[in-house]
Amino acid sequence: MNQPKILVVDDDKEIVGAIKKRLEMEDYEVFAAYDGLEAMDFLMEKEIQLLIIDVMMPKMDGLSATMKIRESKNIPIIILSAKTEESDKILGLSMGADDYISKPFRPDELVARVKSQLRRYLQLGSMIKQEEHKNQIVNGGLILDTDGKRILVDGEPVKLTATEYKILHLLMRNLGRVFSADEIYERVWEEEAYAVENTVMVHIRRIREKIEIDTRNPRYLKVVWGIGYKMEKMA
Amino acid sequence: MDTKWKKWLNFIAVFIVIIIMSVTGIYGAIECNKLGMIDGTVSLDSLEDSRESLFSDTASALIFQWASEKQGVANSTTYKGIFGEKELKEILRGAVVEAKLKIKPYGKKMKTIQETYGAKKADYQGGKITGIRMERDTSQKVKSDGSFTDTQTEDDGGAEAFYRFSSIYSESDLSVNIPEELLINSDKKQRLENGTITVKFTKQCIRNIETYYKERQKELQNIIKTAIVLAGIECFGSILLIILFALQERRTRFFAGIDRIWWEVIAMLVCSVMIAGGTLFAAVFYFSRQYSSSSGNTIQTSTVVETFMIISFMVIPCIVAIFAVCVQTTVWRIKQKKLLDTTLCFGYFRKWYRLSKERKRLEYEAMSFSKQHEKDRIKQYRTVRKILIVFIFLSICAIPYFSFFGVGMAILGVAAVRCLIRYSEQYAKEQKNLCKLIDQIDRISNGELTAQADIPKGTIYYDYSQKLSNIGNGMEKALQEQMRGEKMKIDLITNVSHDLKTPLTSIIGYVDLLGKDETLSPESRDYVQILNKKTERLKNIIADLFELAKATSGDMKVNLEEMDMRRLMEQTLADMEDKIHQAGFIIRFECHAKQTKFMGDVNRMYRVVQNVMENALKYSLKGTRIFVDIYEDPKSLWMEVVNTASYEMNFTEEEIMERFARAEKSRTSEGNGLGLSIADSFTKNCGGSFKISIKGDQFRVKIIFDKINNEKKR
Repeated sequence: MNQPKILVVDDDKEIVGAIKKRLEMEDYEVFAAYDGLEAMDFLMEKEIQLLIIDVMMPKMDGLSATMKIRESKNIPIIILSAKTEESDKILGLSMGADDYISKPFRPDELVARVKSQLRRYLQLGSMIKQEEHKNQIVNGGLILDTDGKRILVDGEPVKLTATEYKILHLLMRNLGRVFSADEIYERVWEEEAYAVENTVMVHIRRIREKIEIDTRNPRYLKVVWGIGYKMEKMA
Repeated sequence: MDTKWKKWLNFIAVFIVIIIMSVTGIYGAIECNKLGMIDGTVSLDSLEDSRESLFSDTASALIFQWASEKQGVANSTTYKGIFGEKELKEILRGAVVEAKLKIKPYGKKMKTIQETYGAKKADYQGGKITGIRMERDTSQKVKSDGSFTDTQTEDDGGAEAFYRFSSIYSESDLSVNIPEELLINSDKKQRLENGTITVKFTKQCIRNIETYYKERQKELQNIIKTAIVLAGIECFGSILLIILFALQERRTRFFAGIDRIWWEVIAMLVCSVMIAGGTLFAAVFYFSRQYSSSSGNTIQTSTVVETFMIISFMVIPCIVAIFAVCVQTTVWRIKQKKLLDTTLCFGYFRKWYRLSKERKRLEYEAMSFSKQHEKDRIKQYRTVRKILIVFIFLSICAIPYFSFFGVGMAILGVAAVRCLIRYSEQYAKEQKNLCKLIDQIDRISNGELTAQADIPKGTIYYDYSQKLSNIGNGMEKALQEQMRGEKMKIDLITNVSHDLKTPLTSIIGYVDLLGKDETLSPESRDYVQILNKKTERLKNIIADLFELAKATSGDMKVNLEEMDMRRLMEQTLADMEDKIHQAGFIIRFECHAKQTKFMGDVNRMYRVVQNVMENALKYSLKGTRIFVDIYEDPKSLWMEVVNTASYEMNFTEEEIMERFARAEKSRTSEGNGLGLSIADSFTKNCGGSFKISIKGDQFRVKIIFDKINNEKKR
């Protein structure tokens, strides 16, 4: 199989250079573009598997470009931005992006995210759609297989303990709903909850280490501080 | 609690007294009514009659009885004295009525009738005999057929006027009621020429009569006694009511209203109530007197007396209630030392005097620092007022001498009206402009800063309106400038942070690439490691700086939710477990509060707690413990983090809060000094307060929030 082709778009040439080098080390074929229009043109000509695009660019900004591209293509798009506000992230994701990385970022993290997106796109793209009707709960790159009692993260199975699986199962069955630690404990351990915050938190952290790329900045399993825990519903 | 209890007790007592009084009143009225219901007509006055009149009374009753049975006298006029039907029958067993009458039917021959009625063969020896002789007054003219010419007098019940009566057997005059039909009977067309009626009583009969009399007397006395007792209860009740009302601590709305009425009115009400009561009793007394003096219209008069007594019993509670209220309000006023103030002649004039003094003072004050036109207005107003006062005075004087003062009044009136017309025109114009000015003020205060008013140039309010417009315009300009400044500030923050982040992204990228280069010497690898660390720190500082700038610029939007402080702390501690473990500190967490809910933004509050804990971990003395506690009081909820500093804290609470202030003066160790500032700003953004106190080596952070009131939520 060919190496996946990635297009990196940013008006800062040094950033594009660094990203290109780093991704090439991972055996990807990387192309560069320096504004939105150029990226659009490039996408017309070449078959590209993944797009990394900056928001603030001359000629055409990243958000409008994303919107335009989404009209014809469903390749994964990762947005890079110096804007760190929650609202900016939500805006970016609602424009059709698959992921949002705020600048400055660690290159390793970017690589992990690229891998994750590509895996989902290339290996599972069609598969997910077919198997959706079976006993599976799908949320973004997470697939919970209730028959096999296992979880797939971007297509790769992840080892979970029984308790971790139960917690994840509970949260994934109720996407977006916030559970307090007491509630989780009573449902999973099936015992009366008393001073269980720490226990639950420890398990949540372990699950995160297994399913999240950046544990400090989780995408799926979120802590709602002072209230409880929830599984973020992905588009 | 105690006063409330007292209040209720008082209320219940008043209620009971009023009920007792009403029941007594109704009962009394019924008792009085009984007076008339007793078999036979009895009145208070019957009791005062002498023994002699008792017999004439009995005789009258017997004659009526006889007349109604034998002579066909209508029952409606039957007279029974104090006796009932049964008693009269009893008496007839020991009494006899013997009548010898000469009757002249009209146009026919005279006939003589002799009749006896009652017990003829009884032993009248030692008894009593009384009788009456009737003779036609021959001076009265008679028609040829024997009827009387003047029938008019007949209808008036004055048939007795045609006859002369004389008593036989007794020394004193016997006054017996003779049925009128016996004398002149228009239905039978006959008249009495002359006749004698004798009534005899046996000894036993006389005793019986006296017994009946006594029984009646007793019965009447009982009723009167009851009436007196009931009246006494009414009086006592009224006194009780007055006392109960006076005992009331606080005034009911009803009494508060009563207290505002001029006291003179109250006094007049008391007088009129007393007069009404007096009149009522006097009337009762008068009618009963009259009855005893004229026994002619007995039935009618006694009914009037009884009616009056019934009315009096109905009216007494009302009179007493009014009286009680009046006395009560008077007592209250005296107690409150307000009696004089609430009178018309003293209090009202004093109030008026005070008001006018106050008005004069205000006018004087206004005059002392107001502009000319305001002075003019006050002067004009005063002129009109003075003229009107004189006018009123004159008109009062003019009542007895109208013709003389009338001219003066007219002239003054015209003067007042002319002044008023002239001034009012001027006022109206000024008033219109003033209204426009006020409208302009209103609009400006409502946010329309550039509002204008079309007041014509040259009028007194024109200048003010212009000045107001200037103020408004100035404010508008300042506001716009401020808004622009605010926007620029936020733009600046955004741009600067973007400009800082972009090169940093490149630096991080290339440092990373450099680290991946396998040809590097071990020394260079160390350098790259250092670069990695420092760029990471720089990244954090920029992020913090950006957040702090946004938080303090007020641009940050907070999303307040119900949070649990205890849970927040537990989660944060669990989340930071690794760090805490690494730092090697023991954290003692205890929650002393039961209700730990408050409103906060979940992400910001996490940053607050995280920063405070990181601060504590960074600057604590090795081997000491960090104490985390949550407390509550009825209104608020707070979290305290206490740690022992590893160095001497030679700064004040204020200094540490300043941005970039660091625990040590030298800025070498980790952390950027923004942590507590961010925590402070975020706490304030969420509506809480953030306090730091330093005592020796004890560093204490206190985060205070208002509790969510569960009752309020419901």
